[in-house]
Amino acid sequence: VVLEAEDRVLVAAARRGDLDAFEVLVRRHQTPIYRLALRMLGSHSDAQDVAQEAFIQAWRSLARFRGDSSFSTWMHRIAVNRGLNHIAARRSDRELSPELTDVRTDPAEIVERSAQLAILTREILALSPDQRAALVLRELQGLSYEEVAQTLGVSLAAVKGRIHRARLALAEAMDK
Amino acid sequence: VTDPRDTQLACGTPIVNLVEQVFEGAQASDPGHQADCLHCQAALRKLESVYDRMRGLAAEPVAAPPDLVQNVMRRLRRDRTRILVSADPHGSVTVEQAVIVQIARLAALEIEGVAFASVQLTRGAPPGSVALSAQIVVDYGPPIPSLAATVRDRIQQHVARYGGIPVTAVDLAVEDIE
Repeated sequence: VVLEAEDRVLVAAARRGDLDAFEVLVRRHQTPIYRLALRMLGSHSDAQDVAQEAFIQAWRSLARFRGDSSFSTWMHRIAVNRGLNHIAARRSDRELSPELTDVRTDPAEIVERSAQLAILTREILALSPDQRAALVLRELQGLSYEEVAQTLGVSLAAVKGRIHRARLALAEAMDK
Repeated sequence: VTDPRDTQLACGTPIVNLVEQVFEGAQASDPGHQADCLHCQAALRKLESVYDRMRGLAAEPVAAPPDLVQNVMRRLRRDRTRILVSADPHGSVTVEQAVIVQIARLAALEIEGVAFASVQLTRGAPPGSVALSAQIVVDYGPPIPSLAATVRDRIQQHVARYGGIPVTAVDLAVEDIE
């Protein structure tokens, strides 16, 4: 029965410290949040780390969640920020120790079945983190431009610019 | 300064128009020109190729790892404190708070007319006992006062019987009706 409760009821319960209610929210939102992390990072293990950390952070920040946006949008915001931090940390790791492999060139980490989608995945991972985040939210997670702007905390114009440049970069890359 | 090649094709068509046309379903700004222009057609082909693959990728099923929920919940539950049920010179029994909360929640959910129940421990109970606060969502139908009394009694009985801890108070709130 508890599985049918609406997000807002579960969020209110979780805010009072009810872990069981929060578990239902994690179960309900794990797939889109995991997919977001996977598309941003390209690796299953990194995506799992980021998604798990995002939910743990959400639990700890619940007191600050005012319900201005849906729980889903709020979760996307936490996960996308953790994803961006992860990319930045990974980049500085690579600068310190260049022998670490780039996930983009590791075939075991290319997740898609078809070669065409594998190429697209590789090129998405080659975009700048800001462009990548905006593109993934819009094209793969199905958020509206307004929701992407809200999630990333930037202006609508900035979001449109990033997505436009990302699409052009991909079009150029597909041609090679 | 923006390089003109970044904003328009050699034929003068703004690239943004073609992108909007493919990705946002906008009308072609100049259909007559597009039909004859090789620059426009080449650009549209590239953009459509990206668009199609993007739709394919968006449709790819992705399943979260089977242990994701468990990993998250284990981490969150680990910090929970324990309640002392009994202690004597030979040893002690403690019960995780989460266990008491779970017993109380299941007790409430067993009652017909309770659609959702959320339970927390509240502060201020003497050692060796617990005080609880519970919020429920009820089905439309049963009279709320008698349903609420049943929920409080049942929580008290079950926590005492299965958790081994007396309940000093149950603050119950009916939060919604379905």
